[in-house]
Amino acid sequence: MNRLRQLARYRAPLALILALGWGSSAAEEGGVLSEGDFLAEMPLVLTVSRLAQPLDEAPAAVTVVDRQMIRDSGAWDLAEVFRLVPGMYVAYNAGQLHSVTHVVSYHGMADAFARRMQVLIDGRSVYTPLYGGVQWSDIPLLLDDIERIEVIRGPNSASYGANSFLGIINIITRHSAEQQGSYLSASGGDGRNDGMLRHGGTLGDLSYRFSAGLRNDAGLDNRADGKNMRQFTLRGDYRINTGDSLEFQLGYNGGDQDVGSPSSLNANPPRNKSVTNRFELLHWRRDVSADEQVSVKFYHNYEQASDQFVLAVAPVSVTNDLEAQRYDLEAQHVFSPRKDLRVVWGGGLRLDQVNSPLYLGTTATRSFRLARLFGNLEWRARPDFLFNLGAMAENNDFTGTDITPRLALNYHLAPRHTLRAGMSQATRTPTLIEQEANLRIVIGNLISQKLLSQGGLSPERITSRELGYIGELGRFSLDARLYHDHIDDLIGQYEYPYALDYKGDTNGFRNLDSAVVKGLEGQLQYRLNSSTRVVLGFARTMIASNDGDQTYSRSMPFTSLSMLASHRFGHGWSGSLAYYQVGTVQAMGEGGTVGLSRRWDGRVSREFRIGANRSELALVAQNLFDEGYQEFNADNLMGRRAYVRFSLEI
Amino acid sequence: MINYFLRLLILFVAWSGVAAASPANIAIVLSDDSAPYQETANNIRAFVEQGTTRAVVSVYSASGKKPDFIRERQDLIVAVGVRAAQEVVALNLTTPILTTLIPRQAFEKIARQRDYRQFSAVYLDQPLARQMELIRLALPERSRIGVVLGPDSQDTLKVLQFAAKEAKFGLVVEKIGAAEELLPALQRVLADSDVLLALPDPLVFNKGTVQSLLLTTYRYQDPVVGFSQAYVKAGALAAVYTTPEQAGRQAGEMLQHVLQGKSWVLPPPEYPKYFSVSLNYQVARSLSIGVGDEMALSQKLKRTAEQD
Repeated sequence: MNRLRQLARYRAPLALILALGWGSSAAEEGGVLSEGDFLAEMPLVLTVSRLAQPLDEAPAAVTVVDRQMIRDSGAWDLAEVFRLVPGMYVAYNAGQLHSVTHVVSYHGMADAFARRMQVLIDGRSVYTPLYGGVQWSDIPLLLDDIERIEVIRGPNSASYGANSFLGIINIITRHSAEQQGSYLSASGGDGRNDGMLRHGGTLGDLSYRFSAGLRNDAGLDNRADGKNMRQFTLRGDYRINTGDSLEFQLGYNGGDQDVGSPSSLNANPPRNKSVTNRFELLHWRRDVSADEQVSVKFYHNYEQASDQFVLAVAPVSVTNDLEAQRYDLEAQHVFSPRKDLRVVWGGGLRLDQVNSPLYLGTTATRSFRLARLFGNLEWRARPDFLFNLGAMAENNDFTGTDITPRLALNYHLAPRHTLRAGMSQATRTPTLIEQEANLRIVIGNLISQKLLSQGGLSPERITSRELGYIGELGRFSLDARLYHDHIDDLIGQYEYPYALDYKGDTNGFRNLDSAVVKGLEGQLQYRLNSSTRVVLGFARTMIASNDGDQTYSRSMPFTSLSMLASHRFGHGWSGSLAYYQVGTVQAMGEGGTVGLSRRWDGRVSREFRIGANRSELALVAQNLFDEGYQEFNADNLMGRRAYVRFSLEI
Repeated sequence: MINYFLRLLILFVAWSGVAAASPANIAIVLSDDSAPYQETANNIRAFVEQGTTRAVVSVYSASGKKPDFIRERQDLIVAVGVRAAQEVVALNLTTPILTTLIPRQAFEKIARQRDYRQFSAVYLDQPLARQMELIRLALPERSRIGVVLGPDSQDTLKVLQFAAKEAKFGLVVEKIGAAEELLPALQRVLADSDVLLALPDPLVFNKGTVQSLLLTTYRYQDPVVGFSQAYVKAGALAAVYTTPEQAGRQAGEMLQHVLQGKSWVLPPPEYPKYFSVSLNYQVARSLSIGVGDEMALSQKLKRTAEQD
């Protein structure tokens, strides 16, 4: 044995040579194709939370507005995009006290502070804590950063949280890894101009993008509604390892806005106010596998407005300053315990803080706390039967604990033909104004008590039932639904029977009315090929209510229609045409009766190259035929407005 | 002089001894000690040891700093992985070398003019026809394949065009030379195609690009057919791939065959005989694609492979 080994030493120097040569070439391998390309672990990218549920498997009617539609619609403001959503009421309102610039409400019931929808941007709830509505022009969000918008038509608090009452607008921004390089655009025309700059890049495992923009809008001719806004947003996505990622965002939108009513010499003179909005968001995600994920999200919203004016009728200075913040923490776990089951569950805590001396009658900061638990079970009982069973339990400072369930069944009758039946309940918690309003103006020794809440309100309650169909036939696809919503305990204003105000008209808030909203609505799409698409939206809405003055029943047009047709002509040319028709409507609150309106918007663009860079020149005309129609109330007279936009990718 | 002859004589005796009675010595050299290489080696060993010819299989790692190397003469070396192949080739031995767990392009770069009888391979990548067959089976309604080629994959263009033509697919190809060209090229490809076929190229498909690449394909609603299981987990719709065990099995069987033969002559390089299919049902669902079952798809693909 010994001898053999000795012999072997002579004749087999292989190992020794190997030892010397070992590892010398290994370092040179970087970037060269090897088995590592086949065997290496990869970060999980398209996981449950990022994948959109196919529309025919969603437990509710969902309208998707994608980037292309946003672009083709020619929208200047984000809110305008929602005109394409069936059943959505969108109106421009030059605003009075609080400068609401657009009213967006699903199924009507909208005053200037439309507050019965949840609005989320990357899961961050942006309705303002004071009155529950959205200041559409003040959100730190550039249109170009949006990946897609999912509008859930109907209540779904089990999945989208508090305030998901009449509907949910879920805005998803683009992942920073998708927006690399630089981009700039500038537009102008008819009293509006804007400019924006975006840059995206990567640093190792971090991808980021930032966008900055200026937006100036002189508003309507006869109104004090000009805006000069500055925006900045930043998003970073850091890949910690193959399973963990951390997303962080921050944004700012602020500037000056005109408010007040030029026509009145009384309480609300035209003036300028300044607004600041910002937010920070942190979102940690762990993708355990393709269908299991844990995530924790924290965000903070901050909004501030300074508004001082002197009443025209008396030398009294009024300060309408506002400071509001929202802190929100949410954790969520998605998993599949069995192949046919998928579970989402989680919980969240929220603190809203508002300081509004004018509306709440105190210089103290008022708080609102909310805690919630939610869960949804998706069960594929058979390949063609999908059940969704969800519930949310919410506890808050104002109305205590509520549990709201939902149930939906999707039945695939045949490939590409699906029936959906659903029932869901939701609540809307009173807002701080509804619960604690105390608006009082002292003029000498006269006390003008405009608003005074007694508190003790119950939440508004909705029970929604629907029957939907989603199908495709050739190049057509149809999404239609019949629905019946029963709403109880609607909170409205009532006049005190005894005089608190020297003039006698003090309003409070009460759970006053109930209403039934029913109707038929849907969207029909025709896709000829990848370059031609027509999207039609239609809605028939009927509201029956026990309110004597028909406040609710007239707050939604009986018929509304929308159409967006777009075509790419080739050689870089594209064009689109949009049509919106809204029946007679009597908007609530500051709103008034406005007649049937018809409006056409058009867009023509040409892509070309400047050197190696892609650029585009677009012309957009809104209200193409200059129909002098009104939106929301008679004061908002809409004329034609056009703009030219130039954009360049670097 | 006598000494010299003596040595020669001993060598001769030793040689003939190996070929005749004493067991064959096979060295398996791994690129490193990690699991995939071990799994490959274990299967090679298992299949060689099942064979009728006696063989001694020793396993070495190319990553160890102080390797306890063989003292025995080797009749055949199996290099597992590109690095092991490079290291072994760098020794300029006359011993036949079988490489496995190696991409075809990497093998060809190392092989250059070498005779396959002395230097052969079991490739890790799948033949293009098989990948296209997977697309045909899983996505019968998709007819235009998009491909982005990088510097390492550009020479497959001709083969690719041929395979697409054979399989009656439309083909949209973009070539890139630098990382920043990837997204624009990808967008051009996706605009004209309805499925993206991923072909291994470190510039196109790597950990750094997977995120933007998959997100972009998803925005275009184009599924990705990839080349690894990890890619399917990350968000590709489907992949046909060979696991290290499967590669080891094929290499083991090839060795059995060689051992039964009279001389140490290797067969020509082979594409994988054994493979698996992986599907991402979440992605399929989101894209409203009915892909069927992994097992069924894999069976169908195997039947097609056997027919060829």
